[in-house]
Amino acid sequence: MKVPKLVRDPGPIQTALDLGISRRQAMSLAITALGGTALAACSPGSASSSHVTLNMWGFADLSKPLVRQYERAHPGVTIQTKISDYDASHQTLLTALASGNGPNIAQIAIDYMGEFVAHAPAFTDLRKFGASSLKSKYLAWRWNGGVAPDGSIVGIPTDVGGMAIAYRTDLFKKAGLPTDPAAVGALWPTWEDYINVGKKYVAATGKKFIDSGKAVFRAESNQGDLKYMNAGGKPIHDTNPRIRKSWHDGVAAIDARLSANVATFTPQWDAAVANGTVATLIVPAWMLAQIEQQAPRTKGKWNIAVLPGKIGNDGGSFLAIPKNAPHAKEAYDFIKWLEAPTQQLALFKENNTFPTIPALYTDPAVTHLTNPFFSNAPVGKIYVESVQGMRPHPIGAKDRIIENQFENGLGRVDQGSQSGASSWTQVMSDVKRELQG
Amino acid sequence: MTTSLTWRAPATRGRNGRVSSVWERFTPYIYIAPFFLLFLAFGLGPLLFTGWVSLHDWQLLGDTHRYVGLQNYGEMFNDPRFWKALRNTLAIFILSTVPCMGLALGLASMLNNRTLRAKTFWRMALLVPNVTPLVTVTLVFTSIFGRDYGPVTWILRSLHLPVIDWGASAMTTQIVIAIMVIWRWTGYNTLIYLAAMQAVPSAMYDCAEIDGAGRWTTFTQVTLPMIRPTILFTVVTSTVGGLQIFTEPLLFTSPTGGNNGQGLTVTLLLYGQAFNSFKFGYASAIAIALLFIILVLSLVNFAVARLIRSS
Repeated sequence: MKVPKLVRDPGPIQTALDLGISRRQAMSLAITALGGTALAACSPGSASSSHVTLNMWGFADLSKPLVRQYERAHPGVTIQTKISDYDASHQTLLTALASGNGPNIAQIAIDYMGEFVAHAPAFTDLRKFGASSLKSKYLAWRWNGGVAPDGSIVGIPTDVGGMAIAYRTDLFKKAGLPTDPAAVGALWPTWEDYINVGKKYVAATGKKFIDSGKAVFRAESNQGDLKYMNAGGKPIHDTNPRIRKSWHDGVAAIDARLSANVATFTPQWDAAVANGTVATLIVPAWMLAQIEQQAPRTKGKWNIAVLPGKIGNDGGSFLAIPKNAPHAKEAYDFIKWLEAPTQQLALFKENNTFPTIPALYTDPAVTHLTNPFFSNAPVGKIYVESVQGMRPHPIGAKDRIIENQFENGLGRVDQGSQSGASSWTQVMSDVKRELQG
Repeated sequence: MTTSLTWRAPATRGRNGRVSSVWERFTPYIYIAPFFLLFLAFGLGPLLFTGWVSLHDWQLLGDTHRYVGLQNYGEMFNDPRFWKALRNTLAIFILSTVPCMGLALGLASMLNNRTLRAKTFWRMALLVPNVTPLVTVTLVFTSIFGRDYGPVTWILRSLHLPVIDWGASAMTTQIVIAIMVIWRWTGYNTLIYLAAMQAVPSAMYDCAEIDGAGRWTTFTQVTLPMIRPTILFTVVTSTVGGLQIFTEPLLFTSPTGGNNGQGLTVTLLLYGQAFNSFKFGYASAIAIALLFIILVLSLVNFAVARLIRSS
């Protein structure tokens, strides 16, 4: 079988990939910096028994100050990270697990978690180290995302992607719209309202309001207590009214010419954000870092308002320990420390990754946190509110594949190559094919 | 095979006597063994294993691999994506190979000019696109053909022509991918043609000149027939390479070949089914199908080559 080199051997090619088509990783600058360590980090463990090297593979970089702090406190431990492109990091992990050469610690995104949890025996059951006692500290629905049907704990949740809308105050002002976050949030209690505001904006300026139709679909479809699977694991993508409604709103936004048709994590998206092509973005907490990096000159021109429907979640990840990886205990100790309240708070401040520990949601350090890049928007308060009422939906092993089909479908409508109705028909048959076998 | 046959002929005639003949009979196999051992480990072995996987519902992480017989192949023949990928691959192959060969022939005959100055510079320059990393080439071309900010868009805008969303339709996507292939391989083929052209005896050109042939007639009546075997060689290598095109469509579109599979090639479908949908059995079936397609096309090439040689 032909295994493309770039999947197995993340080297310079992978680094170039990261630079060019970086997807979803929040800290692409750190990736280039760490690309060099990737090659050195291939063999788990270390020759000396007193010294332990923990290799971590993922798609978002660890905080360097935190890693250094941990290494200082534990002189016998070195932590090395290998950061790859979002999809490639999961594919590398999968092939490495299949050949029994996994890292000591693996970062797995929530979108992929269903597939990996379905193969729980490939991972160390963290109950072995007493992870069950941690459960009560974390958001229950997010914790459960890392638990296999047999009860084994596959991963510890790192962050959730609370949702909000980032908008350009300067562009809103020109269009005669309010600019104060409370007033802006009041414009769109529902997605219809959001689209209507978009229509006004487009009529007033002739410019685009959102990056893509699928952004609306993605945010809205995540707001329900059911998505592609029912509680029994049966696919309901074709019957779930929320999916139909989210699709309808995504298509409506495109048909009203609100969409700039730029997909997230492409150079076109970066350019659109930097050039003020779009007036609003639907932003999970971790995406704020992406905007800060890709559009540094827009500092102070953004503000953040509440999401239509208020609640939401997109993204976030888990840390897991592959089965048979050496130094599992040391790896677990590090994970436990990294995902403890103090460190999660530090990560939120530094990287905008929103904590998974509800106790922090009332901590003034979180609730009073503002972000200077986004006109000192109260990001802490907004994101806390967006995850607090969150109703989790059951996630199946094929959810990510199904989502791909829906996103491709809205992409076709955005490109103007299909109508909403015919694209829906194709999505249904594409999903059906993917669910076979 | 040919190596051992041509070698054995003189040995069996007993050139060096009986003692060494046994040794001599086996040494060539030892000489060629490293290649065949490596081929067994990294070529034939995985190939046979892929065939085995293609008969299963293969979970990479699970221990159970359910035997499903030819079900994956049946699924493949009924999968519109497979046929679309095959059509796209052939379209990109033709869109890229034909202009690439034509350009390479033209460039080679220009470089074959005896009065040309700085010959080494031109030859080196031609090879530069071929040694540039593929990912870099693809990313640069993706920016050049960017819908909103690319240079091509800028030119179209300044000429008041409609802007093209190159990645949206099948035709434009395939043209852009073909351009990347042409950019990368024209220089390489040019050098091969040039080498062949320089092997044509100058007496033939002198005769043609005496007979009053013009430049075009000389090219079509002397140069082309003389380098025909070389052209066939490049066609074969382009076929094998063209049918496996992967990086360009992956980076220009997406792992699914774009929203509508407009850039989906057979290798990309294979990769997507294996590493995106995690259907390893099905992906293996596609790999085996690709093997046979390449095999058939190579046999066709071979047959054509024999036909030409015998005529």
